Amino acid sequence: MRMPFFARLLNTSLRASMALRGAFLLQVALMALNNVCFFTTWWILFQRYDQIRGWRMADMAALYGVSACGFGIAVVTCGGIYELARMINEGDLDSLLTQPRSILLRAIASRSRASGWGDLASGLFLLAMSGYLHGTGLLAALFAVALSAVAYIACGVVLQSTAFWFGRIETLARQVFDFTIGFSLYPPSLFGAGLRLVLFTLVPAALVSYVPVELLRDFHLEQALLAIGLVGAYATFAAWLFHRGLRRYESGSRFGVWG
Amino acid sequence: MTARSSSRALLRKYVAVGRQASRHRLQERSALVGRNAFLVMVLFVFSRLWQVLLEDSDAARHAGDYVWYLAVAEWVTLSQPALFLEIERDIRMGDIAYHLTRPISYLAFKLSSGLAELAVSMAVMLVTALCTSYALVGGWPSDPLGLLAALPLALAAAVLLLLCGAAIGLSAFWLQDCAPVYWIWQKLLFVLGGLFVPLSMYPGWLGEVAAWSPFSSMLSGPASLVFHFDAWAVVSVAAKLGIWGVLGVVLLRAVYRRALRVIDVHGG
Repeated sequence: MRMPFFARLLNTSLRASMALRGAFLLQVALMALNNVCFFTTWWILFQRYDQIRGWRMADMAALYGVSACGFGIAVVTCGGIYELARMINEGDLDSLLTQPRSILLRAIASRSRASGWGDLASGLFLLAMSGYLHGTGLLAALFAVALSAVAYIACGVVLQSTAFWFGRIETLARQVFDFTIGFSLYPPSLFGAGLRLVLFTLVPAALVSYVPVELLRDFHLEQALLAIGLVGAYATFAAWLFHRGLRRYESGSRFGVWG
Repeated sequence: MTARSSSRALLRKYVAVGRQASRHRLQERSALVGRNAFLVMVLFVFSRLWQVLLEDSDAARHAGDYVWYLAVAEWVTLSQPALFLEIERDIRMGDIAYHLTRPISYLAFKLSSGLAELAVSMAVMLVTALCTSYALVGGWPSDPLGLLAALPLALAAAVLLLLCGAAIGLSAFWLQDCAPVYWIWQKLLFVLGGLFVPLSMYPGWLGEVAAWSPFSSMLSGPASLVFHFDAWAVVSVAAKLGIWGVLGVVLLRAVYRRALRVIDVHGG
């Protein structure tokens, strides 16, 4: 029941984001350029240094690729994760409460960010550059990207849902989300055990990139099952947190229009 | 009224504008805190990166200098106010028409407020950059005199970046949306300016291209002084900043004059 609804929601939000073709293409191109420019720093470093604690150029390209693709899919399909806290604080969930559909799905999947296509394009380019996309590596890459996308969406929901308890927290939530993205683009071998614990919990960069990309670097069934378990548990927690917070939700008196 | 007194009166106007802008900037605490937090994150990650990269080499004891390099470069870029967005908004909303009727140049008005916001950001971020770098590295750079020389040059570079931002904002007279221009310019700055990695570490051809671009004197030029104080390098960077600064001012005035003519052609 939810998948056809999600597909229709996605179709509407995608068409809305592509309505202005010129602006859409420009955003896509510039985001792709943005990501490639940031990766240039690693290209420069790897011209001088062969590896960074076991991580080579191909591994960094895979890390960037998985993270960028996962993020791109997350914001293209569920761009509303950036707006959830504002919607909670401004009473925009009111009109969703009366509908016989998943409130969370409706809230996060009703918007699509055009720049996500640029992330996806640059991510695919970097994955192709990594050399991991051959044979079974292609399946592993698809699996890794899917896990990353789910983790990014869950992260956004968790952070923005704190607005149910803490109110005007949009800026802080966005900042922590940006930190998650930031940390996800550096090899985990740089960080000690203490910080890695943080990167699995408060700032879940490990879930959005390290765990998925390890499947690409060295696929093991046990590792894949563990990854599914971790990301699945996180996504379940995100949904639970949102619905728990919804019990505290106080209606606003604004009228809103949903497209 | 004499020329001197009219100049003073004009200056008082711009100082008043700047004072108001700086108060406004200080009230936007969440944005300031966010940028400072981001600076701390970047410095922390790159301190780990340089320690790992250099741990087996002779340059290991200089790993901290690379953190100080990044601190100076990020101090320049993260302190920048979004002046281009403000100018673009004024043009797109038509508010610029109201500004043009005032007894104060619109461009000077915007630059005054931009400079004031820049000053506030730089003051706050300087404290963050110095404290964070000192804590991460465990001390000052190998040549502290280089850091002292880098700071005023970095300040000059930040002012030059602000002028560039204003010129990009004025491009909205023709482009309406100048954000794409800004993004491309910013990425060129990051790559050719050596934001994360000193230009001396770039591959030959890329380093040459970067050295000839104006971006190298804005970021890598001042920041590289933390590795080693060199009076000749200080003079060289200052001269380049001066030359690009003069060119920037000339370009900005030319673009502004051309923009005013565009407004007249469209009927004001």
